[in-house]
Amino acid sequence: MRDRKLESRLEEYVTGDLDTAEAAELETRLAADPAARALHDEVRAAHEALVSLRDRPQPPVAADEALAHIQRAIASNVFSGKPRLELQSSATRFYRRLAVAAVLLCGMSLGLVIHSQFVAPDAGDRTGTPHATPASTPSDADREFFVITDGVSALDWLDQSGGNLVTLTPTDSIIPIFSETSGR
Amino acid sequence: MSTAGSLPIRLLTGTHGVTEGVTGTDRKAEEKSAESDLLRRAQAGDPEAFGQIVTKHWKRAYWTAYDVLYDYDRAQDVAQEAFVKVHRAIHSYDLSRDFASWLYRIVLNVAIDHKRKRDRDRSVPTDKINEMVDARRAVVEDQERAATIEQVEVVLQQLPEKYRVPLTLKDIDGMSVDEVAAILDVSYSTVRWRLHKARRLFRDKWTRLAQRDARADEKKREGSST
Repeated sequence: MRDRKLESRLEEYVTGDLDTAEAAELETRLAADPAARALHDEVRAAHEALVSLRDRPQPPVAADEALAHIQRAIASNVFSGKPRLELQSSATRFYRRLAVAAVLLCGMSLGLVIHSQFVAPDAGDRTGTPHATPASTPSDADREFFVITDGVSALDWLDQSGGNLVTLTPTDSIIPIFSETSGR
Repeated sequence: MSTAGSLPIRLLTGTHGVTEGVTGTDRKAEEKSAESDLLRRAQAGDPEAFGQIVTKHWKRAYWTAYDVLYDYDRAQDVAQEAFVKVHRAIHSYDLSRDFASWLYRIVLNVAIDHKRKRDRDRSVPTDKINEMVDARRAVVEDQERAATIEQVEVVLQQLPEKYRVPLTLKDIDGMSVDEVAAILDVSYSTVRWRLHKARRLFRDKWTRLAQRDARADEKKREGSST
């Protein structure tokens, strides 16, 4: 069974975090208690191993060299007026990729808008349904709204191949594009 | 091996220790005043003062980043990025605050961000690992010391970040519990608890490693004597 309180005390003892009175009290106990002494040795050995990292040498990149990099990064921000870091970091690569993805997304969205404006009225062809000739060709002004009758979605309608796609003109008159009815 | 007689050899490094005499306090006050002066000049846009701040803190910032990432290149990136952030924010820095705590908080935040990113696309190629080991050997010339440092780092790496970071800041970088609490933005008692837990985890692993090494040495001796 571990004596947590003693462990904690010993840790603070070897790191020099106990005050004089607490340290003296602990030393008295250590002198009389072999088990506590064994634990003290273990605690001290681990602490000494850990503090060996304090002797770590200078980093592989000297401070002067690092400073030159930092100053270049700061200067490039100041003179270019944009937050560009010359730090070869993966963050820079990530934002570059994000920007490319955003541009691609905008391009695709624009393509979809153009497609829906000029190609969507002929979507009936995708169903394989023979393209019925509209009773009258709607003018550009007529192509403002497209509704599908009896509440079915566009995809349902395409599956059924028999929907009744109509165009609502600005004057609210309904011009059927297909003469067939859905039957639903 | 050790007896009560060896006990007075205490490592009196903590802020609550008794070794800090008048001269130590004076030196600290002088250092603080010199640093405040540098910071004031850096705030006024003096590049030389900023350069001196970087030079003074570079080593500690670098190894702090390394203790999170265990990667020499990334540690360099992180330390540099942290200083760029410091430069950007230095105008709004409150001189009454402790600069080291502020700096290491930035270093740690940048390092943890880098670590999370690395963990997301976790695939350190074998070449990279070998390169890291070679770099370590090149950095530490004394091979025996290098081996100890390597073993300590291996054990430290096995500790969860939550415990490892306060441990390195307190026991390796020599910060006080108050400073660690300020850097990590947690309470004094939380730091003390995490330190205790971290030391216990480290000690258990370190003792096991030492015992394993001792058994291996014993076997080697037995093998050579027969």
